[in-house]
Amino acid sequence: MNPVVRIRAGLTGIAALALAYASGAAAQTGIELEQPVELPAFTLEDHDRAPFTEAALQGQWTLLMIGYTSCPDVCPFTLANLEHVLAEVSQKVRPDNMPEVVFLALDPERDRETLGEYVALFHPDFMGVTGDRAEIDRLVDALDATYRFTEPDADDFYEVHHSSSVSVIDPEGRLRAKLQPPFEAFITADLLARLQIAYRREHTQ
Amino acid sequence: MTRSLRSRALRLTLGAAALIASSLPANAGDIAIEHAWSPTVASAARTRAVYMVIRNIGEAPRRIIGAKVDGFAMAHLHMSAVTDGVATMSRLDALDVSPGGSVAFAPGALHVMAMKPLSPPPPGAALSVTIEFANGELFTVEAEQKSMADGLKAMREHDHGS
Repeated sequence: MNPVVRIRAGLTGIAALALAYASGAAAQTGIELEQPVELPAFTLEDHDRAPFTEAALQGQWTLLMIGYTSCPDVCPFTLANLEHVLAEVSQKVRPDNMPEVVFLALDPERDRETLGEYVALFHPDFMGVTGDRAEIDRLVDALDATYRFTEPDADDFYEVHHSSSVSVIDPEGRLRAKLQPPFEAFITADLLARLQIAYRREHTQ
Repeated sequence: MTRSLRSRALRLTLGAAALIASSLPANAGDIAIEHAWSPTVASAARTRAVYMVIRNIGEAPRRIIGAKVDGFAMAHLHMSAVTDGVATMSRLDALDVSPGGSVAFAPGALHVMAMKPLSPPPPGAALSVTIEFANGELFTVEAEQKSMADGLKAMREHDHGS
């Protein structure tokens, strides 16, 4: 149904699998890495202040986005879209294959207090994580993501410009794919289901 | 960044936001503002987004030059965009609405961004939002608070029904 096009990504030489939206006009893509990327050890904490390390990425699929709680539009939009994606995924995969959604908050000084309340606005199971700058950066770098704080104004108002893609991490804690806006639910769920099929195939060979 | 957008550029998002049935339109003369809503936020939120559809039902082009939100020290017309995979926002100084046209403020794109809360409305209460036009006219609407998911769902249902 969805045309599958193999493209060669110029950036890092990884082959990418692009899923073009059926209409062709409204492009919707996920990029599947040719080889899974191992992630480094890191020490963050979740919104209940419990440790959140690389071990938390083991044993289930994870969808990880980066953002900040003062983000008024794009982050809430993405989190709400991921909630819709999960509803679609639940139609396609077994309950134990449902991905966990993790929101990595980039502005811990402001995000830490409000993080649990913030992620719960979108789904009771969504997890917010944050931590020291160096640990945030270690994970962000490994995910090939980026962010930048804008210059604060006189009232200390600033924004954080950040990568918009959502990282797909497999049950061995390896980066497998990137989801890209607008995260259309049917197509994104389809990509996730096919990633899981490919993963199971690898592990039964 | 100074930019002015023609309403045609926003036609894509127009249909999406056009039928959120629960909010009442503000209708005065040649401008109608409909379906104003604002996503619920955490209690300590520093920013709010407001979405709506602004229609020019008159004969002359109209230019939106700003917004005010009660309880916030600052509000801008903002456009979210993804550039080279990075989500950014930029301020629009003006937004033109052609006669018979409309602009849709919708998640992930155009929004009124309220900043610097002074006395923000309590959870669940509507936000009072004033849109400023270049000719000096002001239009105030009440933006209902609803979850982002509910707001998006209403937009999707309209998409599928149209």
